[in-house]
Amino acid sequence: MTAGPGGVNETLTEVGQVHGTDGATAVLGKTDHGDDGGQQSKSPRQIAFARLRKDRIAVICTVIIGLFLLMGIFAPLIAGIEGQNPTDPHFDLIGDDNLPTFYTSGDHWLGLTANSGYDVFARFVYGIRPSFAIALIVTIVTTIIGVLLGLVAGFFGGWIDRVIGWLVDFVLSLPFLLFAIALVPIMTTYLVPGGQPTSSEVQKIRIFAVFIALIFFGWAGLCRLIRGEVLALREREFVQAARSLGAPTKRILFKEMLPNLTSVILVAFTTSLPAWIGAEAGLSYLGVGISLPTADWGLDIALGQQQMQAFPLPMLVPLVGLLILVLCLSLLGDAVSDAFNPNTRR
Amino acid sequence: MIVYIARRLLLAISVLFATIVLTFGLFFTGPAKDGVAYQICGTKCTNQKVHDINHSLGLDKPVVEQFGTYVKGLVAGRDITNDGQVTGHCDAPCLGWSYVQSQSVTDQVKQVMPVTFAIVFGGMFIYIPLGLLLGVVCGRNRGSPLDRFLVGASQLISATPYYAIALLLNLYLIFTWKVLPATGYTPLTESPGTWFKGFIAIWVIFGLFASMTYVRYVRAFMINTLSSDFVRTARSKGISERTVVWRHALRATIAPYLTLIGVEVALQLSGSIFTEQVFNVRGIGRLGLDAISTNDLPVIAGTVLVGATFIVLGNLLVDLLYVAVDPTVKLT
Repeated sequence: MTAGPGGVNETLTEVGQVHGTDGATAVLGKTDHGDDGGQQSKSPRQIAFARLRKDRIAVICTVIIGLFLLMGIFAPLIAGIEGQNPTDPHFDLIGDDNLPTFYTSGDHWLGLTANSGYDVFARFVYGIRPSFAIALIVTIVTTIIGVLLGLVAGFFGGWIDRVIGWLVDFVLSLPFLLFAIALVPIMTTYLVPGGQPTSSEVQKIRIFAVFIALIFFGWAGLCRLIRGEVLALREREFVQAARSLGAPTKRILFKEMLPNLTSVILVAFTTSLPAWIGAEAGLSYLGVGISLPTADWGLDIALGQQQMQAFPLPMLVPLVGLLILVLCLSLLGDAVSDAFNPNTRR
Repeated sequence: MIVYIARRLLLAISVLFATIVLTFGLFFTGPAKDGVAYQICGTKCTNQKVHDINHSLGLDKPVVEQFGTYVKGLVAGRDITNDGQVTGHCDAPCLGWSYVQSQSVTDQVKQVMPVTFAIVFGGMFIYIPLGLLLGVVCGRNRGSPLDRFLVGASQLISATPYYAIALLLNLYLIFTWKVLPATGYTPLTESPGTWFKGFIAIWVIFGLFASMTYVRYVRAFMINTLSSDFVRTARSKGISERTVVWRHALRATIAPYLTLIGVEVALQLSGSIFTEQVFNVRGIGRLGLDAISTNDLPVIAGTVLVGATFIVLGNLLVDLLYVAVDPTVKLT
């Protein structure tokens, strides 16, 4: 979006704002002016966090995400209050039509799933764990790969840039979902030659396949973004100065350039986390991600879909949970990106 | 210009070739090369049996020779032999042979592609005009309550996973409130009416979701165009605001909008799998998904290759069109 006319000026006033009470800024901003009061400078990051704290949507989303995280961390305790285990089937409560014989009860607050009769509430509480853990690890790994390759491609240029650029084009030309689906049987043949895996082997292979698929596709976009940023940074004075002073390449890359890319990387990180949560749940929903009996929102949505006409709660509970979590993370990502953009009009 | 097109073509061809090498390497060499044999003899497989099957199907030949056969099949088609006897013919482009179903993968893909095409191109009739209309209205009335509502809605909807929204709408609009007819696939040639009825709900739900992602793009294009010189000139000539917006500015907005959609369509053709799964119609995504349960590797490899071809061709086409439409694009 184009910058509003007041955007940059407003950022400048924010930079120059007097913040005598803010402890962290006071230490950083300590200059010849003396300690008490005076004009103090704020780093772009401090401005961004100050903006985030004032952003009502960002604060609400952070609180909701925090609650979800606490739910995932204390899942055994919360499920313990209900007294149910997410992986225990209750065949005795399932009727002849494969549907549960009741909707909700004091023992099973949100009812049971069809066929095996897993407890919906316990699975909801536990189900956030695989999605969040996988998405977090994938985001971290893809960020590291993307940033490193982007730095190298943009800085060195030449044939290195062409090779990495081609790889990015190649990865982005592969159909993500079809490829992710294809990885499951491939992994199985590679890890279990002969192809009759046990149920615990299947679980491990599935998780591994999800990781490979998401990481394989995840780094390319960020790599392209970072490369573009580095191309611009490379010509800046401070980089030229460091180079003419004879600084080693490693120093220029990681001490001069990387700190200038933190906001880009942070924004990419916060926007890709919800995307990967959605992708992981999506693969599990398609039946190529996490497999039973592990609780996972995507898998539970697929389970619930079979009985949604008779009793929609087992599908709606993980579905709404996923919607709220992804939505809050996305909105927080948008807020972070706005806060770090100096052209955003406040 | 010619240099640019040549380079762009070269990139497309190299990417496509690499995809063929990758799928061949993953699916037909290494541990996966016994996949076909295991599929045929199942739990009764002994090493000797696997060896025999591989030998009779010619799967124990050197990798390079097999790759040559595979590529030749893609270009010119090939015969499928068992013990030296021709048991089937796979027409070009031969994506592989499913030994379990004794059918070429190309034929299977051909059977399901009408579904995927119907989803993607049918949805276009909803989201292209709707995205354009809403985007123009937003851009024209920037800052109005309607604009803020639509931008907010578009932000919310594009922030959530598509399949989640589709599942919710599927449950309420189709099953609970019965606003839209139930989905399902009937071949167009059998009964056009039933075919249409089975797709209506898919098109509406998919189209609504997709249009929401485009509203913001069109709005931004529109705002940009409305502040450009030629629009100012048009206004100063005394042309009515309606003509300025819907004739002059709209034309300048359509070109970038259609390029955007071109790239998306290529992705949708290889990624309509969520739509297929939620609404229970069998397209290319479901073909790949179903092949997992039977471990039918050639079918899965075929779907990956088809999907990649769509994306490469789509990107190529859009890039070339972009050059044709926009003379300012840098040809390097």
